[in-house]
Amino acid sequence: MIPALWNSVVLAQATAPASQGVGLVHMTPAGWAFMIISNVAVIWLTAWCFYKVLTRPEVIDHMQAPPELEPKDQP
Amino acid sequence: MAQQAKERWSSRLGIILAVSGSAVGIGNFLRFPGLAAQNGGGAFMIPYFLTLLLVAVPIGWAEWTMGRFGGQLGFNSSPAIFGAIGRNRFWRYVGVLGLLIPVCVFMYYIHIEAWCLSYAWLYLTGGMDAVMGNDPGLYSQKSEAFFNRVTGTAADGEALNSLVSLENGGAMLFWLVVFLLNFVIVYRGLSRGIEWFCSWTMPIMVLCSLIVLARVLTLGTPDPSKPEQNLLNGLAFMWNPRSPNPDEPWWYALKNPDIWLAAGGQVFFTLGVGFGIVMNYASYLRRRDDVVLSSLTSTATNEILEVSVAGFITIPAAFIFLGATVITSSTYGMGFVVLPAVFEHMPPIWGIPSVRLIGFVWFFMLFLAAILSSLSMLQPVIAFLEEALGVGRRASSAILAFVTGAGSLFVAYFSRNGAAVETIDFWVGTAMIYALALMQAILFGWVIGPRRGIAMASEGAAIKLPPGFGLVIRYVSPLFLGSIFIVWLTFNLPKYWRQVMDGGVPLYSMLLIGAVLAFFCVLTAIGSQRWNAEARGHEAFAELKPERIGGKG
Repeated sequence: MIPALWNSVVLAQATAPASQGVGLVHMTPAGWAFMIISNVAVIWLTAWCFYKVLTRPEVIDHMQAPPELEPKDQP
Repeated sequence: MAQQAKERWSSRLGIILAVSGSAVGIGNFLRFPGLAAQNGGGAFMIPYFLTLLLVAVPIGWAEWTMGRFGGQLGFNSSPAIFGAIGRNRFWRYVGVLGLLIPVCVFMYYIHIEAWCLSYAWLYLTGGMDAVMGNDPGLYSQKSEAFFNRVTGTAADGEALNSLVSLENGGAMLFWLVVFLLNFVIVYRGLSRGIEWFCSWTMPIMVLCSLIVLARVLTLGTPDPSKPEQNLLNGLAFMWNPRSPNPDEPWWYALKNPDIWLAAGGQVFFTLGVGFGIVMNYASYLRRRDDVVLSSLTSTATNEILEVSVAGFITIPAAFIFLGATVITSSTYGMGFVVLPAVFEHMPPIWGIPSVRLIGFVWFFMLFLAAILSSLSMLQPVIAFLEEALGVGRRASSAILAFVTGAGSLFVAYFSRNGAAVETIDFWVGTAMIYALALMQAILFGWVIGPRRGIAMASEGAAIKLPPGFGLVIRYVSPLFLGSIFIVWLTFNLPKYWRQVMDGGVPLYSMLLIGAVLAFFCVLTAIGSQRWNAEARGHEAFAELKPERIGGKG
């Protein structure tokens, strides 16, 4: 959501050594694996969630019954 | 305020889109790709997903559950909900953080939103052509100089000039427009305002992001004289796992605490956990509305835009045209300096220049992402003012407009080197968010207790909570989050504390934060009497009997 926008500069400075190994790059098998697994996982999760949301029937008690009239929770 | 708390979401999808819109922001498109590329590339995704599973998702479920429970008591604001669950004054005032954070963040976030709209307007009308000129060698310099003028980093008060002049992009004129737009939408109410706006805007934002994505993925090798700067190598730059030391295997990156810190922080901020916003939104749910699947769906929506869209746009595009030097850019630098220069280099589409189109679509998308987030920062405070003072939406909107407007002008005036933004962003936009999320995890895991909490969350749930959730929310999430928080403070606190002690704008900014905090504490004290009486009268409140709290959980 809201990034710690200005602090990202601080983080960038703190983590600069991590990027020093980057020169001319070509896609490695590990790179393909991380890219594919990360994205398949996220896309699958999103698709599954929306499928469940859109296919689930609406709840019955949508007429805003006051809480006092609702049955008590089972212990 | 039980009688006033009649606002409801009109559909299940409505709240999911609203929470997703609140979570998706500028950080998804600019901060995540930069951090990932700087911190091990693909290796970054391991701590990223672990934090997502162990901290963000569990606390998200807790926040949704507590919010819905508060709504059953007729409460929609975090001080009232925290106080009702915690059953003492301490928790009520902890809940004040859920007001302070959105209000203070709104004060500077609205400016970033205005910059995005200003850039989108300039691309649409051709104004950026004059800004960038025709010399490709000077694009980056001109882009940076223009951004510095827009933000007024050279001197205090400089940003305010754009109220009377369009020379600096008219940022303050756009600030006025977006400020009014935010309040008009929020004033229309939850269903007719926020939900209606999100249900239209989210699809448009996704469409815009897909247009830019399609453009980047079809770039190929735009400059034949630099064959190494092609799409595939741009993706490699983003996704190849690597260690800080190129002689070591990539998994040595996981030994680096900075990478864990960066990944933890990013997951945490991108989902908006700890803002108090989700708790407010969930309080408008009905008792048997699902929270488990809705929370997960909102998280997944945020993630797909961050990982699967932004992960393929920002860094690969910047790499293709500008090479590996882009890795050192900050969030602001990437969004407002690097990418405008990148757009200028983009080749035509079927012979038609694409700079204006892509530039406009990109910044309009960022504007939509920003306004979806800023809207969500206003609603919790409006609900609080209604509850604490017993006033209507018009009065609460007016009070909030005065407070945020004054704070936002303060930020605009003290623009030199972004000192005011930096101070508020550190103390409120980062430190207090960590603190509030930690308190939410403790409230759910230790005060309500996992067993009772799981029962509450499972009521009306469309899917089951995973096994082990109780253990995670009680022990793992607070410890994991607390560790990140402490390490982060160790790195950053001394510097920012010294700045405040040195006086000047950081000190003034702290005084502003203190004034807003005091204002909310006084209103909380005023509202407390009414809330106590109302909470005791509810059956739902009686379900949280002291003997069920804590120990057996």
